[in-house]
Amino acid sequence: MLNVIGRGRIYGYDIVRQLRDVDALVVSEGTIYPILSRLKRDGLVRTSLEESPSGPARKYYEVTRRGEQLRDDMNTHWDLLTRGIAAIREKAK
Amino acid sequence: MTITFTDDARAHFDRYLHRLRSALSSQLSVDVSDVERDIISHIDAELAGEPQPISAQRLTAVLDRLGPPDRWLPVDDVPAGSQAIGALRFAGEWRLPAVILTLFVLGIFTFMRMILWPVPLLLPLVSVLMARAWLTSLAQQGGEIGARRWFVYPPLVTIYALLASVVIAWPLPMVVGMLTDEPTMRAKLVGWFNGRTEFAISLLALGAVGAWWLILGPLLYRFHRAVGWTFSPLADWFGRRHVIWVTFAGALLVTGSAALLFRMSL
Repeated sequence: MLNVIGRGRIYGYDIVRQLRDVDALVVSEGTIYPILSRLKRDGLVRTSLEESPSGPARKYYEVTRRGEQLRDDMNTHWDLLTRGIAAIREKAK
Repeated sequence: MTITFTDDARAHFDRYLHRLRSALSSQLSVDVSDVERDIISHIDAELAGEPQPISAQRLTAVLDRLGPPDRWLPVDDVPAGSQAIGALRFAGEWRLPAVILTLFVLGIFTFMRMILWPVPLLLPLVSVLMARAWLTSLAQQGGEIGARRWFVYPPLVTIYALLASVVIAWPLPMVVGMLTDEPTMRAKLVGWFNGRTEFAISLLALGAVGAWWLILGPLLYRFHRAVGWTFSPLADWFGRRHVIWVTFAGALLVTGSAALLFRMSL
């Protein structure tokens, strides 16, 4: 989720749309919003409301410094893990 | 929302939002109103470009992709009480509501007879906790309460009303008692308010209640979700705008009673 939000600001619905396009990720779209709420509570993202000309005010999400730190740590961990798994699979061939 | 629904779709969406609130209201880690706003915004974004009004069938397709709200949280996050109640559901749809009402009635009966102390206090409390857990579980399953409300709501309404009146009006009996029972204070009041002591005591008590509401206002503003949680599911609607009304009413009571007391003392 922190990777989807990236380095800029992103509309909550667009987060869902981006995750929808990830084939292997099977998740109810509604699950995303409570997770975003928790990330906000934990100070990993912040939100801002912006008026929309075509509907209710839009909530934009942005990663905080703390969120960036956690995202970088988790990405590093993920890279290590996938490299390790790839190495194991390579050996098994 | 900029989109419009057919009546069926509107009713369906309202039920879905109710399910959402019920499923997430016990989660302190999630801001329910925040998530609700996100879902409304999501629906708006999904359906804004489509022919209006939106039918129930079209709405259902979007809601199906969002999934049932009670599945949005990991099972470990669902309160233990709800899980236990879920396990007991096989016992029948009416059995638990009947137990809830029976415990409550027994509580009242033992209280009126003043027997088996402290059972008269414990029974209504257990009844309320069971009612809350049962309602949460029912909402998570998307079930309709129907006539079972007459079994489950009486304990909730009674205990919540008692609790609310204590929180709202506790200064009233305290001030009246203090001013009525204290002879020196009473003598002073007679002098200050030209003999209209009873009326002055009433005004002082109302002023004290108003002052309490002024203190309560900022507290509730900060912890407004605690009200919804404490009086769940009857006060899910409570928000910060209601707190503003409480504070405003407090200010009105304080200034009104102070003005009248000042006028009486002249």
